[in-house]
Amino acid sequence: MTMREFLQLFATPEFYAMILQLATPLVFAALAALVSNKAGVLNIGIEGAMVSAALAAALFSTLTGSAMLGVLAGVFAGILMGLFFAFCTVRLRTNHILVGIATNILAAGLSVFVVYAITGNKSDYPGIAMTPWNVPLLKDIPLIGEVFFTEVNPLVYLAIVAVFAVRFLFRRTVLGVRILAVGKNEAAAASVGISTDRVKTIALLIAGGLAGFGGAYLSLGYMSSFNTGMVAGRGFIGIAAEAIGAGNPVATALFAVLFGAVNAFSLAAQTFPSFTIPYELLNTLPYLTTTAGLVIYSVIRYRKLHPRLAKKEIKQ
Amino acid sequence: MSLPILRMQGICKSYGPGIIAADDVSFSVDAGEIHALAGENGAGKTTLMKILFGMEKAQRGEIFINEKPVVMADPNIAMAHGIGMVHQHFMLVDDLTVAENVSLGIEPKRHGLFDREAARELVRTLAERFDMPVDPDAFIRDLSVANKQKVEILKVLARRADIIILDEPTAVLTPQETKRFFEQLTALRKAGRTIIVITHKLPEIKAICDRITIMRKGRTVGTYDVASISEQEISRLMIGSDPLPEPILESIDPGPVLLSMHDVSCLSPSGKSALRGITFEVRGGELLGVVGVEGNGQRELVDILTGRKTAYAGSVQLAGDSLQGLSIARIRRHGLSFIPEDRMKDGVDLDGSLVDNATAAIRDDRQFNIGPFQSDRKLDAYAKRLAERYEVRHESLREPIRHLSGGNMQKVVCGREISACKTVLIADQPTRGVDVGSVRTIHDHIELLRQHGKAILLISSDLSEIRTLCRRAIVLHQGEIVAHIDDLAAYTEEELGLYMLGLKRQRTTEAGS
Repeated sequence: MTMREFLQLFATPEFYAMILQLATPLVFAALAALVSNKAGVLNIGIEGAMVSAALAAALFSTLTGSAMLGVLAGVFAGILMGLFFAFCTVRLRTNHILVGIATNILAAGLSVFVVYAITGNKSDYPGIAMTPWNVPLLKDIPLIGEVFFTEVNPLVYLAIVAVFAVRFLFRRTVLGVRILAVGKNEAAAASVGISTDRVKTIALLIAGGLAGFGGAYLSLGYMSSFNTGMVAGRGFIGIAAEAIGAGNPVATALFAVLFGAVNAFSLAAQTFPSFTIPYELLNTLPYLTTTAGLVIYSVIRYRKLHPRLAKKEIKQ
Repeated sequence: MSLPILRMQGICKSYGPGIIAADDVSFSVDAGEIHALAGENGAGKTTLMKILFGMEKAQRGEIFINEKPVVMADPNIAMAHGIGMVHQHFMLVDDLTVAENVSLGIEPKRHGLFDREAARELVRTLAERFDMPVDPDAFIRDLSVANKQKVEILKVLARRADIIILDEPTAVLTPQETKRFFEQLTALRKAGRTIIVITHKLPEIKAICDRITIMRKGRTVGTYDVASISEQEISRLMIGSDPLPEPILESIDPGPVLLSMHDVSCLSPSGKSALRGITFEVRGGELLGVVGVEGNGQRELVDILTGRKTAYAGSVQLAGDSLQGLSIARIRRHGLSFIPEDRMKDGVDLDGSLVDNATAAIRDDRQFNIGPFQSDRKLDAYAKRLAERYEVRHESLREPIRHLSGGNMQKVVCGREISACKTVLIADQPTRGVDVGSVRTIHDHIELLRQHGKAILLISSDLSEIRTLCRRAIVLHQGEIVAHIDDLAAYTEEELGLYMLGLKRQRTTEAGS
């Protein structure tokens, strides 16, 4: 890739539009991780919830002929997966990680089975894509209009709304304060008569719903079909973005967008004629960035805490 | 004579065969009094109160509020009947504000949303009315222990509690804070609240309580007017016999320096400065006390000495060798023993047997081997001897240690560490939550170890424990040594309290900074 190609890439509105598209499912996943985490649950089942949601969305969009109903079905599937997760961890007190692994394997296996049972092939199921929105007037703004207001999937806007809705949840609602209390000190919350099981379950259902939007977007927004493996670790990248965002919804979303940008870059770079790196290697870029991001985050935290590396600080 | 506001009748509670926490207990409290519930640890005081608060269920017995029977199925029912409880371990969410904590569970709402301003106003009103000033917007994690306790009481008052149960409220307070706290309790009584204080501190009972109910081994011994009963009588009724005389502080010539810290600083896990320029030494045959309100650097101090925290600046020497970079195992091989603060978490393997736990520190020793293998017979004999010397009440050497009571478990931990001690013993709250009889056993053995020329560092939040055992002490405040005290007997509790609160500090001439 020449320098010129590289710079040109950053000058095209298409590239930024792609970032927006790729970041959307990550933002939903990261918010799902955030809500679970605030309730004190490390929910690695988000990936599985997204797979189920993506399939359910595609399935019901063709069944009903409506993309909207498809999305609703996807969200419902996500909530169902959240309910399953909550039932196992909250009610039956099973280990979070084990239930998460089970949820993910179940979703992966079940989706292949369902697709095969219906279509006879093991990987694809067509869906009805949502109609993208064109916002009048605003779309005529140069660059910004092209990126944000031309042919944009409504779920992209919903992702932005969701970031602030989650922020609102924890800042302004009783439920939010209770989720925080349960997540930070369950015994204290229980001692004032809060049903901690109920609060955790509600948080996991919200997380499931958010993951559901992410999954539905993948099969009905980003693509117009479901295929197995299409979630491709996005649930986990979302968890990573949440970890680096340190519990702040806006910071979390921004890191999700960063990972989305890397993803967009790895896809765009493959189209350059002068590019010689194998695309398989390029495809690993989002995951490498995630790993690098987590490492950098840990190092910064460690430096903050470790006196041997910051001796000067305490000598004062 | 008015009817009692609260009456508990024939309460029975057992945690399985042979473990009886309450045996036909009756208890009654009049409106508007401060009632002490006294007894040794394990006498059943806390259990009784947890039953009253609906946190535990009694197998038998009845509870009457204003002479009406009530089934306390859960804390919500207790709270609905005007009962509030301040737990020994605070039930506060560190990352939320005072207002959020006080209103948690009874959040004021406006248009369906959390009304933060009303929550703040609630705290302000209550704080003013009951003279317990606290900033509603402060985060709990930034508050002192005394202020956290205020928040706990405000929490109870916000729920309109008429009967307030306080579980060992002064255990974490300095003498000054205790005095202030008593004033607040008296003010609460004046405002018509009924207060039940769980305690085993006799001077406090005499100072503020109207009546006292004494419990022993799951039974009520009786209820008395505090004015008509002496401290000695209370003590006798609590223990069931006259208290033993205090041990005599025999001085022996101090030996060489066995433990020293020089200019040690470190950070807490949250990145704040936890220790600053700590310098002290302990010689053989010396017992150095560490005085301070909990959370002023004691944990970090202990963690550094025992090798659990390896990131610090400055030097730590054990019998002349630097500890820097040594693993916990190496440090122990150097002769350091350690009685941890939390026996359940760090002191014992709950599922392990008495033998497993009593011998954990001497497993390396080849004298317990037959050839290359460890000898069960020799280990059993060691554990048996230890259990005898420390009067550990147990059914069998093989039973899991979790079946033992707290005091007996602690005696196993202390016995193991003291017996295995070769040069230095770090005793972190060695008698916390232990009955008076066990306290005596543990103190005697610590004193014996000192007489054998070992160096001992005693960390305790119980000032009287340090004054009983130690001659020298250091006072920690916010991670710094604010006073080196060479003769504890020359200081009153109030003077020590001033240092503990950081209101007063020695000029650092000998601190060697």
